Amino acid sequence: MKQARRRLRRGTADDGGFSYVELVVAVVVLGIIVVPVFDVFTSVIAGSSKATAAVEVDLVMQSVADRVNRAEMGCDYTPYAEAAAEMAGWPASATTVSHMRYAAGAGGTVTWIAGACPAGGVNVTLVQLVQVSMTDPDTGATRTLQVVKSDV
Amino acid sequence: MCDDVTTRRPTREDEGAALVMVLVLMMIASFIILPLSGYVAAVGKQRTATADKLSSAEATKAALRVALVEPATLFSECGTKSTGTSPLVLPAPMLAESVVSKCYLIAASAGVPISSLPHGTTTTVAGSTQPSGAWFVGSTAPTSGSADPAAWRSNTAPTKTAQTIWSPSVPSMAVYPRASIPYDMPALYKPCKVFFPGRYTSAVTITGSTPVYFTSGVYYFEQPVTISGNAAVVVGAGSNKGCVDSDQVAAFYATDAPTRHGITGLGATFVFGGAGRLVVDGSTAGTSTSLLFNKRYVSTADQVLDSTNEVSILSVNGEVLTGLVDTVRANLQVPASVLSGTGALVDPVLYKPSTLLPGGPTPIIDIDLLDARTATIQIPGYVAVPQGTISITTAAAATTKKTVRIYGGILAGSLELSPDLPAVFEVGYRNPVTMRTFKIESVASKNSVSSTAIVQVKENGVYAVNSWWFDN
Repeated sequence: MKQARRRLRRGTADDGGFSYVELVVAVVVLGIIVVPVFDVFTSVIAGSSKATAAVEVDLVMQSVADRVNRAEMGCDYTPYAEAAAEMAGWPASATTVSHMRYAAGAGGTVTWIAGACPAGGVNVTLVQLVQVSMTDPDTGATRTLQVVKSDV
Repeated sequence: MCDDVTTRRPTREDEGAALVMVLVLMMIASFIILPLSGYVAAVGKQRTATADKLSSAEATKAALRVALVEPATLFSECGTKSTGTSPLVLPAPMLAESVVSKCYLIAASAGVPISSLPHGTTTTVAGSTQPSGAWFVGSTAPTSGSADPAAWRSNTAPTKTAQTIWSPSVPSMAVYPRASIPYDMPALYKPCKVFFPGRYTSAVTITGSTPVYFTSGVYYFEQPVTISGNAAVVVGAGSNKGCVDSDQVAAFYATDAPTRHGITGLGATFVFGGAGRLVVDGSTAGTSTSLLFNKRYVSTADQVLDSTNEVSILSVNGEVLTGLVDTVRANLQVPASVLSGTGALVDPVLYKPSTLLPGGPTPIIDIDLLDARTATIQIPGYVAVPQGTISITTAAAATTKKTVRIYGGILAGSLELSPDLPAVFEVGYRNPVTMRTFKIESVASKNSVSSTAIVQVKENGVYAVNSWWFDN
């Protein structure tokens, strides 16, 4: 009987809840966990937004690649890149295009020299390197793509 | 009371309760964090993969386009340095993304079946020695060296006909008169001198080290064309690459290039009349001399020029200037040349019959390689000089570093060879491979993106991409 009473008394004491220190420790530890969780949430949202923007740039670049590949041989492919940008609702200034053309290097190596065409314009042996950079004006996401153009 | 609390707190049951709570909360949090992390990683990876695959796909496309930038070179390089299992690694296209391109030789086909070929070698001078030796390729006309100088005339044909002696007519006059001095390519280009098709009535001498290119077409010479010194000469467009990228580039950019350039077809044909002849002179100081013809190709529908198809060198035959028509000697009979298309005798004012008959001191083709220089002479088209002599001379101590290949067939008055021959020597008619089929594989360095193309390339650089597919 005495033992039972002692056990009951002890049980009552154990059910008294956590101490203030325990709670503080728990909150602190919880905080240590929750803060990164919120960070993850934040980065997920930001990352998702960035990914969406980047995918949009990629889609525009795919359009650029398609347009340049299908274009007739010429000496300036800037309009094709600008058209792709404008299709996405971006200004033409979102794109930068540079042109080079193939020149045989020493020992059969490949070199690229400035300009899409020689002085006389397009000729049948021309192989061109078109480098397009596209920047999403809203997010600043940028992609660069190199397309080699010939009559193949 | 306070004492009670402080004395109760460290009871055994309460110890580690906060740790348990934390562990439980960590588990709960991990259920949230792990999927979120996975989502972020997947989204990020997908975006990168999409972007990189586009870049890689363009890189593999670029590799094929660069591989085909000089198809005639691809024809010879990949055709001789690869097999179906052992590829030739092609030059890298030098892009931001690296890509490795390999070329496999899948198939090769000769121009025509051997059974439908004309005789490879014919000599017209009665009793002339027939060529023999391991260096000789093709068949010899049975009438070669016959005691009857007219025997060979009974089996000739103006076009390539099986088991006959091919005796092509001369093309329409190459009307544009030309000076004997070549045109310079401007400083923007690599050093190069260019000749254009036409009528050359003065001697042409090529001796400097600046490369020389004869654009494709028909050249008529009434005086010698001499190749000497360190000359490096390519005749016509084709698998042997000249010092300009193309005939069009030469016509557009050569300094003061003629407005009527006269360029036709691919490759070139030299027509020798009067005292015109080809001389490779090894007596002028030099260390390396090369003369590389590319085989002539013109449309067979072109009745004016079709007689030059696959012909590298022609002589104007007959003696019309003397009032006779054919060249008739005791040991030589050669009919006068006629014009392609019409079959009419040539106008002796425009086409002067060759005066360089066999037995005389001047061969119509005179290749003299007596010194120690490196020399390469390659003539892949037909050589039809039935009233002239072809002479090839090499000294015993100078046979190394010498290559002479005249393998498109020969019709000549006689063929004179020195006892010592060039180290690489081939005369006659070799049925050449005119088209090769290649598999070109290009693999980007990232994303496992690759492209494979099956490409047919002809000797003259014409090509077709039969199929082209991508794996990504």
